Amino acid sequence: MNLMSGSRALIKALEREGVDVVFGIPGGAIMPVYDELLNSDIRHVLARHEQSAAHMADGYARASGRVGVCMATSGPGATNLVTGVATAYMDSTPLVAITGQVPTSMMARDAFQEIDAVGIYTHVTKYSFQLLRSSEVPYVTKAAFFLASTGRTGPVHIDMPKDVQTGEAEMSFPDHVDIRGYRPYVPPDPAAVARALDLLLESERPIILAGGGVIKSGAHDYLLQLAESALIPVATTLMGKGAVPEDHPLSLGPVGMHGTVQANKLVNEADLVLAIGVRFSDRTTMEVRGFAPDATIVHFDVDPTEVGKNVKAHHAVTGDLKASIGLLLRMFQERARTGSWGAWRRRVEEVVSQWRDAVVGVKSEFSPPHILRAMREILPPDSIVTTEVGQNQMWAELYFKVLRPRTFITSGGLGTMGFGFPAAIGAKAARPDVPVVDVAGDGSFMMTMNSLATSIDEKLPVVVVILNNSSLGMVAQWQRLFYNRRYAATIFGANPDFVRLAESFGAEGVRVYSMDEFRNAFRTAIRSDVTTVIDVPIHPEEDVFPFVGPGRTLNEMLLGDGRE
Amino acid sequence: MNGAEGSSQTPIIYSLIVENKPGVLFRVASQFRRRSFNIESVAVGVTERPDTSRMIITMRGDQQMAEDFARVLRRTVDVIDVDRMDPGRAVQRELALIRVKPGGKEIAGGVRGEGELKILAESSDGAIIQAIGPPDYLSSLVDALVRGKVLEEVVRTGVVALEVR
Repeated sequence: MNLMSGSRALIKALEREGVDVVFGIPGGAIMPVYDELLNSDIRHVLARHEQSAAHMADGYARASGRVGVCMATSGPGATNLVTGVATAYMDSTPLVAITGQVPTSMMARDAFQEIDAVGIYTHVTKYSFQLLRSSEVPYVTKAAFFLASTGRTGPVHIDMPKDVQTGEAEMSFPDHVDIRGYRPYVPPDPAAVARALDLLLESERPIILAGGGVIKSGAHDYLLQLAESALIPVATTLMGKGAVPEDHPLSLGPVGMHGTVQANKLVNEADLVLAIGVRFSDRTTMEVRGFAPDATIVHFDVDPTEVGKNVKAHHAVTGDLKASIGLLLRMFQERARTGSWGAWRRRVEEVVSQWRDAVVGVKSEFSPPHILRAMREILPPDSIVTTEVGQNQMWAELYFKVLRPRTFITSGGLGTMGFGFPAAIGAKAARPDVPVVDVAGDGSFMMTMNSLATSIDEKLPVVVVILNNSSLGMVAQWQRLFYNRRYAATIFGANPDFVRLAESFGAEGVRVYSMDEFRNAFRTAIRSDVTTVIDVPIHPEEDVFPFVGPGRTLNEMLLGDGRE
Repeated sequence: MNGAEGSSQTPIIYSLIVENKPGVLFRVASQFRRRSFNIESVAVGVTERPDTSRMIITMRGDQQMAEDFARVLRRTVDVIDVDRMDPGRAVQRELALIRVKPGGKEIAGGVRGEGELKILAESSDGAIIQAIGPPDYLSSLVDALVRGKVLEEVVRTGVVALEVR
């Protein structure tokens, strides 16, 4: 008999999955697991709030393409972690979240720090496991990584009562698991792909709409080849930024509420939208009845439930995107050497040349769009940019051109303020070789800025650029536009001095008042071996444009200078 | 997308093969709850294989919604198979136990429909009737007993169904 504790089995199972880092905070109900971590080479990054631990694991996963792992104790540890796990769920990030639990004998007795974690996590994960016996640990851990990393990727939760951690059992570690109700490997139907190609070749004004699924599945190379062979313009969703290099002549940038003029205009002029790995979020389509009204929608996705969920598809291909786009590309190359869309291409070039370099609705030459463009000029192409949520995020969406997949990390679906900074720290743990920058607002940064302690302690230096308007800027923008300038709870009376705040943690802090000062500070910061916070005071009434108001259609863009 | 509203309300019957383990009903029911679908009836029992259960769930809604939702159920990890039955081709049965006051037996016997009645217990206070039949028949039966002021309580199993091949 070779007995092993549940905690030892968990750590061993993590090692077998190739996990090199976990992000978390210990507590009473997960101490046996933490004790066992000391016997392992797995690195533990200590967060200062469980939400941040989940965002770190999320940033790690998105930057690396691997499964991120986060850990927390029972009760408040588990509930704090939920926001981060839900963020990962909405953006389909592969994550394994492990929570401690009170001993099985204490469960459902309202024990100290007890919460029904499975009851909560079921709604924000692909699956939530509750371990009831130590012997189940190897199988459940394997199953959790399998579920998280296959099909439409996403977070999986494991709830681990303390007696399961300490209890000993004969362990057998499976090399693979089979889950009857879960069949992630669906090959695309060649006939369906051929039909998609027919529709494409019959169209006169085709456009590709690429989403986050393109990046997650690794279909971006095929997609770019298809776009280049056929000379079809590529718009993206927010999550699809980086699916094609945004400095490419065929790139239109993102579509949506804060999409580029060229992308929003051309999607609505298209007669065929080749939608790949998108879920047609309401922030992408805006008013659905006005979304690409003349277009045949051809939808490629790994998740069959996405077909027809938000936008009716005229034709759908479900299955792994890398396989299906690879097949589409091969079929295209066999059937047609080039597309025959001359008039459409001229129209695309006309719109793109008019709007590609446009900066609209800014208050000065030291406005956020200029800051974002300067960042792109200075950063090497493989640098990673994360964002917080709000105006900062939308400025980055519009004005920061992403050149490589997995180098733009943002909370697109849940829109979680406080995401960007811990996600940047997680991304840095995955890619210590490249600069990592969080584009922040003062409101979002204040939600997780205690992660400064983690970045210093763990020597994970990142750069935080705070576009500081001393307000909850996006809400304030809506109040200016739709609430008659009534600023309900959006103006901060007392912001901290972010320079001194950073310094108090042992980080660098600097405040800049001009583009030159910003460029100098930024160049220094991305080479620094400690985290740097760059405080950029901006005009408090700076708004993000173009802007499609709620309930409006994509061609009803406000440009901020009275133009529509 | 709300199955409880809209104009084209038709009967929908899902037949699910699921893992026979704790938490599965919760996961399936959560998907209905999130969309505010009102389940009319649910019946769960073990199948010919002890590690799987069958759930028969009925509700009303439009057909496109029903098909989209079938894909959501199929995606649920503990759900092994989902079949959407054609109500016109499904044999449906439900069982009810009904406690009636004296006179209930006679009223029940007068209700027409494709069902079977059996008296399981009887005393001077009334009787317990077992009724088996299609859900429409059981509803007519209950209505008649209510109208006759003889119904004390009723417990229904929920619909079970198999499609005719």
